[in-house]
Amino acid sequence: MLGKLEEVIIMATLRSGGNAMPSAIYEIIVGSTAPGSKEQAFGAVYTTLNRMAAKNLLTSGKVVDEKGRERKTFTVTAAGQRALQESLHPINVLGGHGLVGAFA
Amino acid sequence: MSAGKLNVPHKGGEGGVYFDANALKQLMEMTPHHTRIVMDGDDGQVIYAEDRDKVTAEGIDAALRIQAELKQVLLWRLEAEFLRSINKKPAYPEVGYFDWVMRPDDALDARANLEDAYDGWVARHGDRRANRIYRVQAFRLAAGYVLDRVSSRFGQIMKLVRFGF
Repeated sequence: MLGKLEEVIIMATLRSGGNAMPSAIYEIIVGSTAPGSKEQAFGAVYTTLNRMAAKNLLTSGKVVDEKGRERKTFTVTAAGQRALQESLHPINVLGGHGLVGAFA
Repeated sequence: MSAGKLNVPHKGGEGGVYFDANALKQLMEMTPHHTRIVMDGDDGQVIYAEDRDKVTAEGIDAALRIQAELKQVLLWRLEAEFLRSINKKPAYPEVGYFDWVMRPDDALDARANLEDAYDGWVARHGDRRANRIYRVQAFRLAAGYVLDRVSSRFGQIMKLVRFGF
C-alpha cells in the first residue's frame, strides 16, 4: 500500500505527462494544495521521488536543461500505476471521492 | 501659446521625465505659462524645452527629430538592461555542503531543482521567507539523501552477514 505522499507524487507525475523534473512535479503538487493548507515540503517530495525510483514505482531518466545541467526526470512505471490503483481502490469503494466538499 | 526654447546640454546631470513626441507637442500647446519640459537622454544628457520664448514650428520639428534619436537610444538602453538582467545570476542561498554529502551529479540535480522551486517560493512568499524555505528544504533534502545512503549500505551489510558467511 502506498503512503499519502507517494499517491500524490504518482498522480502529479502522471499529470505532468512523464519525464518530469522533480521541480515540475513539486509545482503540480503545490498547485493542488487546498487553500489555507500547508504546502508539501520540497525536500520530502525530492527524497520520496528517489525512494520510489529505487522501489521501481518510477523510472528515472536524464535530460539536459537550458543551463546545460544534467537533470533527473521521472516517469511512472506499470508497477507504479498498479500500486496507485490498489491504493485508491478502498477510497473508491467507500465513496471517498463523493465526500469531497460534504464536510465543508 | 507662450515661448519655448530648446536646449541640449551634454552630461547635464539633471534627471527628467521622458515624453513621447506627440505628448511633447500637446503639452507645449496646452500649457501657456512657465512650463519646462524635460526629456531624459542617454548618460545624463538632458533635453528640455522652456516656455520663455515663442515655440516655433522649427523648434518643435527639431524637438521631434531629437526625440526620435532619443527613442532609439532609450530602446538600446532598455535592451542592454534586459540582456544584463537575464545574464545576471540570481542570488540563491549558498548550500556548499551538498558537495560534501552528495555525489557530484546528485548535488547538481538537487541544487538545480531547489533553484527552480526557489523562484516559485519568491513569487508566493517573498524573498526573505523564500530564503528560509530554501535553507530548510536543502537541509532536509541532504539529510534524506544521507539517511537513504546509510540505510542502503546497512541493508547490503545485513545481507552479507545473513547470506555471505
